[in-house]
Amino acid sequence: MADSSRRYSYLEHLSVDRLEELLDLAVNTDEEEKTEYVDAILEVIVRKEKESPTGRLTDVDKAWADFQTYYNTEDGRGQTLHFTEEPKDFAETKPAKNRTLRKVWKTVLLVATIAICLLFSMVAAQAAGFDILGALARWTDDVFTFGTVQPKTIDTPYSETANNREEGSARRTPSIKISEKLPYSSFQEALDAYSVTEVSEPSKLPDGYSLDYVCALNANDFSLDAVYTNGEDILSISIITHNGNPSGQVEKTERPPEVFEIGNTTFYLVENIDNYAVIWLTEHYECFILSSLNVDKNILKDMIYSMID
Amino acid sequence: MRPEQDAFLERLFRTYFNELEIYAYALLKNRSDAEAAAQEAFHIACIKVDDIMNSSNPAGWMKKTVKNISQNMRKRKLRESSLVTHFEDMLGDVGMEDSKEFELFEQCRDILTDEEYDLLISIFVKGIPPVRKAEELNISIWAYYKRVEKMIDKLRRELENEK
Amino acid sequence: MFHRKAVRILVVIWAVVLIVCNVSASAADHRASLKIGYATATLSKDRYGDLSIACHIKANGVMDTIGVSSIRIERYNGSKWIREGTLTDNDLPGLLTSNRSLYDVAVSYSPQYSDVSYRAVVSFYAEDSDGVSTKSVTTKSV
Repeated sequence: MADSSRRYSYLEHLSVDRLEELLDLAVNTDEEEKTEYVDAILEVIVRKEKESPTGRLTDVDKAWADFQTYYNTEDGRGQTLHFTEEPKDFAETKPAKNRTLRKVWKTVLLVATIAICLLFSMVAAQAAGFDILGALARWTDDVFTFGTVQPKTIDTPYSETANNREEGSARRTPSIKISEKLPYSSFQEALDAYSVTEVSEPSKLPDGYSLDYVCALNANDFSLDAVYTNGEDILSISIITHNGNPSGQVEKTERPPEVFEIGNTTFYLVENIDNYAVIWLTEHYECFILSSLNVDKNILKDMIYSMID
Repeated sequence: MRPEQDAFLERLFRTYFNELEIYAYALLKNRSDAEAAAQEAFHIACIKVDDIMNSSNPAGWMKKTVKNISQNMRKRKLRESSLVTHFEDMLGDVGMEDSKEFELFEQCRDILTDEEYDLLISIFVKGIPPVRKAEELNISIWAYYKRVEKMIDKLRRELENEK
Repeated sequence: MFHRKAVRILVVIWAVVLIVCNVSASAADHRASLKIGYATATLSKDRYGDLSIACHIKANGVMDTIGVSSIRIERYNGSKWIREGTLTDNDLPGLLTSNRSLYDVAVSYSPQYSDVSYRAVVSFYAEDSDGVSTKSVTTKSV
């Protein structure tokens, strides 16, 4: 397969997922395959996968051993399972004689347009930023996450609700654990009880707010929530262990998040229709604050500053 | 094969196997099928070793072979067995209850031997790639495919008889 | 002729009014309050091979009902994901709760097969006097 030429150097900047999409388009076409282009994509994919494996490539030593053991066998001599003899396929490739210039340009334009659209769609549909821990923060018009963007929430006013929940069916009886309210008079007591040092309770709260309750769930992951209230609105602070794979989905309106840093920590403040949300990562936790829009953003930030030692 | 042919094929394999399986994946959309297609292509290269050694573009020759094999694999999967499709449709039906799937497998268990039933589960439940199953059974890939054909033919005959 | 023209114009105006009203209604729906502020679901396998699904939901106020309306357990058969079972609050009381602004649950489930990839599709639910918000989250596979 040919080395990547300068013409295809832009392929280096695409993710392996995107490269596979382009390969799919290039290979599954009624038009004659553009050999050099396909070869360039294949070369880049294999190189990137060898640098940062994602499981797409088989170990070649193992594959060769498998070939010798299971394919290149006595009972396989002369056998062809899925191969059909098409002699003209194995003639030396001759250049297509009857292509018109218009057809060539059409193909080039189409491929270039698709590549550019894919590049722009990658930028426009999802904006992204790197969190200090190297996790990729990403967002669309509806959702912010450090994980994979999931479908947005569906809101149904009462006039249209119908009882269309799924019917249950499971042969095995599962078990359940639920978060329990804890007998602590402060969030810090709970944090200390669970030896959480990466987050502290806020020393400054918006006017009128006091702690309502603290609850925790200790299962395959650990979560701790503190719920504050001023009698009308709720302000909650939550931490959940992320085990290297934060995945929380934060609802937002189309405005991009406001990003600010305190020390080495990057905070993302998003606005939803009825609430603000602030999200950040520590070494072990995905941290989340949800507050009413009635709380001034600067007061919310002051509260967060008071949480960071 | 002559030693220089062996050496040529091994060099070709180590250089291009990964690219060929990625290429096959674009056609087949299944990683273990793609690996199998690439393996089969090198088996064809062994059969036609003189052709490929004399080719001015062995890598292109291999890609064409992989495409040929992948396209036929796709056709075979579609054509092969109304039973296979029937099974996949039934197992793939998201609305299907556990009990129906259980009945279906119980029906197959009555028809098949223990080894054949184990093969059925490997393919339709566990999705074990053919070469890994061949390894488990300590047989060649050719013997594996013969067993699969035999199992599918048996099921097809029995289920058609019951209609 | 004038009468026919007037009727035609009235019909067009009426059609435009209907269309504009529908657009406004759907815009209003789009401006409806989003109750769910945050949701996440993670899946892991314990040393016995049981699946553990942890679900967390935070709403922007106290909800009449909040939690998980269903968890669909799916396994991979080599070419597609198929449903093995569905858990709802009917068979697993505690998936939903009332009068809370946030909720966390963890469910343990024994899968039918070992050595097979599984994932969970979790449907989150929040309901108050205005209506219902639902959100679907698919976990990574284990």
